[in-house]
Amino acid sequence: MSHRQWAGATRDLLALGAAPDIAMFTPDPPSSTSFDNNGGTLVVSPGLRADYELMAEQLASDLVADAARLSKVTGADWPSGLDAAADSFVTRFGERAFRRPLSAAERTAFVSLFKRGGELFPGDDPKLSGVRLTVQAMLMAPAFLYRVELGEAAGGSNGGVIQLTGYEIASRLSFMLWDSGPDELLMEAAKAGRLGEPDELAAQARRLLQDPRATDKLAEFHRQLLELDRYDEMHPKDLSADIGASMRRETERFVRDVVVENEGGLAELLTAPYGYVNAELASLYGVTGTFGSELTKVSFDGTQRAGLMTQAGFLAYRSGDTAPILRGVFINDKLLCAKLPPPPVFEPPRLSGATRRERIDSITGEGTCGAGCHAQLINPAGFPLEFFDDAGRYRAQDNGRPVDGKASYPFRAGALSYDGPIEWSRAVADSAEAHECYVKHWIEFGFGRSVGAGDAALITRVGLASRERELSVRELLVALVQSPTFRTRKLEQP
Amino acid sequence: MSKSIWKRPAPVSRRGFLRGAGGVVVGLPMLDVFGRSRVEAQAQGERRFAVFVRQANGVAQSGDGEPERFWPKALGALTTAQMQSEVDRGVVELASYADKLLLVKGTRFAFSANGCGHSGGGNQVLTAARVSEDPSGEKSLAMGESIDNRMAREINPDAREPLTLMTGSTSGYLPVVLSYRGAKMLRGADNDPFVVYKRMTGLTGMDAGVVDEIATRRKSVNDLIRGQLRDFLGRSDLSSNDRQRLDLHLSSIRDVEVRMACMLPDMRQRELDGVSPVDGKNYVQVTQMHMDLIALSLACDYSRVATLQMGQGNDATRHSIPGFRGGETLPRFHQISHRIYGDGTEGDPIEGAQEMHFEIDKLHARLFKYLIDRLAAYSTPEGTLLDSGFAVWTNDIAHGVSHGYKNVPWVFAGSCGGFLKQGQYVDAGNVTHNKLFNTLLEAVGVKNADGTPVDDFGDPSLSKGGIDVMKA
Repeated sequence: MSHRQWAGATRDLLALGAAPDIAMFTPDPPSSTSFDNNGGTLVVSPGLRADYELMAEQLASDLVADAARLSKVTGADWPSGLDAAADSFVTRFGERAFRRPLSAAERTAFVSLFKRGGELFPGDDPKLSGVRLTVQAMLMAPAFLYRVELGEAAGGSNGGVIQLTGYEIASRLSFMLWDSGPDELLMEAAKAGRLGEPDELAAQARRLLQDPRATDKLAEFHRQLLELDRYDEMHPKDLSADIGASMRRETERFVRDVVVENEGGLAELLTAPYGYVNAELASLYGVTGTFGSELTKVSFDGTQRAGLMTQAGFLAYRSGDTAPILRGVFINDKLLCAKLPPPPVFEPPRLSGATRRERIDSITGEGTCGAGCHAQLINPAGFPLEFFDDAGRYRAQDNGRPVDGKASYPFRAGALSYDGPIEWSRAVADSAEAHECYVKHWIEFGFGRSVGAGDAALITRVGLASRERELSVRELLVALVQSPTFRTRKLEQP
Repeated sequence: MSKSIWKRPAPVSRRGFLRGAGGVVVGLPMLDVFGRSRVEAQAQGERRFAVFVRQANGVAQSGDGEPERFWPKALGALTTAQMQSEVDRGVVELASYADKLLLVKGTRFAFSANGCGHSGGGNQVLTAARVSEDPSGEKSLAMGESIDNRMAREINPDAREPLTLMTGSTSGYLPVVLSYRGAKMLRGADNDPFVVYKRMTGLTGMDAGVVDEIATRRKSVNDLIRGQLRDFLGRSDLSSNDRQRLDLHLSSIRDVEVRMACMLPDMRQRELDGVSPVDGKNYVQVTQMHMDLIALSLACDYSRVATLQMGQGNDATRHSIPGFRGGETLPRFHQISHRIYGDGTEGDPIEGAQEMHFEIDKLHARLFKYLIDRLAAYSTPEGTLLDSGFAVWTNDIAHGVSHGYKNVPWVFAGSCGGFLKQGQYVDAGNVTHNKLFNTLLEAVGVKNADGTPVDDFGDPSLSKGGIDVMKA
């Protein structure tokens, strides 16, 4: 589990209302995907184990001190006798914590621990002490801390693929959409063996997607993919100290509008001709009207701005002399998943030219040593955004000359020419590359792993449906959940 | 934390020698309430310490047509007077410690980067291991354990993991690079001094009886957890990756998590709490706080080994150096190191970039001196922490412009109990730097199982042995 998932799972398990503060947790190793939840790199290190321990003790102690919350966790029908109470609590809480029924051996071990509560918390109520000790132990247990996927024992492996159990599928679904464990309805569906059916999975996914936890998860995906946290560090010239945060909030609000409130898809994210501005952003965008510090939705006329690539934060975060390169690299890397080789090391050339485009062209254009990557892929993605200055303001001129926003990008379907940000955003939104890239990122983030060769068919299929405007972002997630990949795992070599 | 616990008599007086100086007050320790016999046993011997401090982006040494601005003018003895006179060399800032220094030139990283010079340097600087083929580029990883991890396994109380600290943001492009548990097992770094401090002190401040009760409960819980982990490990269908993960988890379990028993004065704690660790403007302050914590960690036997990564993989901090260009905010350090306004190969030249790089080197030299001051301020029966161990200031790139790996700077302070030469600038003779680590392992007392010195740290293909010219 990632730190975020640990916090989400304990919040729901212990009826906390809000996720516990885990700022103190030992940092995870850096991820090899664009996201922080890659299961391939997460480990329980000594530092993190000790953090879990302290937090588990604290949460267990808080729980038994709060009768109302305890009653939610134990259920109203919690028996009064110690033996029955132990059995009931271990069975009920264990199933939620481990996201599956406990084995007989586990139940025996935890019931025995529960009953030692009175001895280990001398002077305290034995039932409450038993709860405290059991919660402490279960929050430290591998079955809680790891997303265990052993698969169907009876099924065996079929062509190197192992069928997951209903409970394991339920966990996948809830962690993918909520960053938390399954709720009761999902556990019931797992118990009844209904989660092997794609239609049932789709129905469950749609139910989960209506929950605020899914809204948070959708926001988190875009926050990490677009590196929105970094906007806060920006201080463009002549703008307020808060502008970076305003730019971040604008993009967050826009994403929520498109994805949650309007059930939009990737194409809308890239091309929707509206935005959210406060007074300072309105002035930056040249929008007239009365605005305060809060964000207000405004429509653009569709000639200058539309979609994510034309938002001020995206542009201003990638500014300076090399802005077209920084913008172009990000679009290639994160939006089109084009593989760019690393820049070569050589004596830095001098830039020459009147406009930024000319200066960049002078060293990376056709006929220069930078032609391979820059002229082909990077510059054509960055140059149409030359209509925006370092702060993200629209400009028709650069250094007194008209901005040249014409370029051509070698999409797989063929090279496509365009002029300026609107046409370029449309070209990206219509490309197979962008939709496949978006699906690939969702597999990474939603499934918590890196993408492998076995995912190619799924990426192509769902990417195509997204490109054909058949899938909103939420329905794209439903499509991923319905795929056979979601219900199985690869057999790994021991 | 209750103040009163610090008035309790120290259960065992052997730790009474810990004496804070230079502004850091060390409270009386409580370790012994945990009854840690192994720590006791180890404390009977001479404790050794190792601190690795890493600057990014290379130094302003000669190369690519630029003059030498880092190393002293001549090999051999270092004196304060001579170092002070060489005002155009970055190490001038360390002149007052000339007799405690060992400067080693003539080492290199053995392997090329796999697409990204910074990543490849970060992969190798403390591991002397190969750079991974997959992942590659800025995601590349080291194919072996780092020296701090190896030392911590061998010399830390309870084999506790090394302290792994960083100045700067832990997210973004190429953030954390230094410490590896093993091949491709990069360890996360802590960047917030207050969080580090809170975690280090953990449960201290509790009544001994309460601590005993907690310990008993933890043991009961952990016995159960151990059993479950062993059940998992007993399965024949585990992947090697999962097995490694569960092994790490199992070996991480402590029934009593010994936390650091020393505390900082309340005022200093509040300072730690009040600083944003990711704001570039706090670079010097946060680095110094990390150094305070490292010194505290060594003095109080929390961890004897620490790394401090100053800045991200390709550190883009915008420094403002008092007295230099009126304290103006300089361009990004990474761009300065390339001498252009650009992070790749394109950009207009930055006028005076080598001078800026030289000043940034000096800034880091002054930070390293701050660490030496701290280590020199703590006394132990064997001398100061500085005498008992060593601190080293290094880099994961040799030269700014070329971003190459030849002649990476190694600036040591402290003799490690008389093992390392002091007051010397030596040439290792263009050897791969795994040999430097073999020497350091010998210095802190790590041996092969048969009692012979370790001579094979790093990639197995590298030539074995140490660097004799470093030894006293």
